[in-house]
Amino acid sequence: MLIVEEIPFTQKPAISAEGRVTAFLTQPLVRVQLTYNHKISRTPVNCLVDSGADHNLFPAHFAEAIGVPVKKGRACTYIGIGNSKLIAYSHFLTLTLTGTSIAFKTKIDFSYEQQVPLLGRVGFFNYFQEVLFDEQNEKLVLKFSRTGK
Amino acid sequence: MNKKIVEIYRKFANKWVALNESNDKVITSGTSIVEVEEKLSKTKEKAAVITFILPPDKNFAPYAYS
Repeated sequence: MLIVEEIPFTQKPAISAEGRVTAFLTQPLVRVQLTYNHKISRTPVNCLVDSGADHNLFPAHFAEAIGVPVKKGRACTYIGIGNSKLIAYSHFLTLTLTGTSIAFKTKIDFSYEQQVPLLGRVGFFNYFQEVLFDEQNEKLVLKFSRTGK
Repeated sequence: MNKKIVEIYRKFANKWVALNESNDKVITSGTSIVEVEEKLSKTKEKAAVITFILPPDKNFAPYAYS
C-alpha cells in the first residue's frame, strides 16, 4: 500500500540587523516523535528534511527526553562548514511522522553540539519511494510503501 | 506571514519553544527539549509541536558526515 503525505513548508522570517523583516523563507519541516524502549516522546518535534545531510543528526537532549543513554552509542565524527567538527553517538530508534501512519526503525546520531534535528539521506530519505520538494506549491510530498521500495 | 510568528522569531531566537496548533503562540520555552517538556508537564495547555527558533538575522546551512 502506498502512503502519500503532503506537508506544507513552514515559513520563517528573515530579519535584518536593523530589525526589519526583509524576506520570508520556507523550510521543509516534519513533526517527529521518537520511541525507545516503549517510551514515546510526548510532544512532536519539528525536524528539517535535509537532502544535503548523509545521516540523521539530532540534538542529544531529544534522546535524553525519552531515556536514551546517549553516550553509550557508537561515537562518530561530523564535519561542517569551515571544517568545524562535532561528535555524535549512534542509536537505533523508531521514528514516527506525527499524524501519519509512517513509522520505521532507523539509526539516528545524537550530538550535544547540535540543535536543529536533521533528517538525512541514510536513515530517512532511503525509506521513501519519493521525497519531493514542491517549491511552487511550497510543500513536501512523501511517498511511503509499507512493503519497501 | 502572521505578525505573531515574526514576533516569536524576534523574541525566542536560539531557544526551543512549544507552540500551539496554529504555531502563533508560545506556550513555554527553554534551552532544550527536556526543559520544555518539563515545563509543559506543569501546565494544562497542550502543545502541538516543539521547535528550535533559528536566529532570523543569520543564514543557516546544516552539517555533513565524515
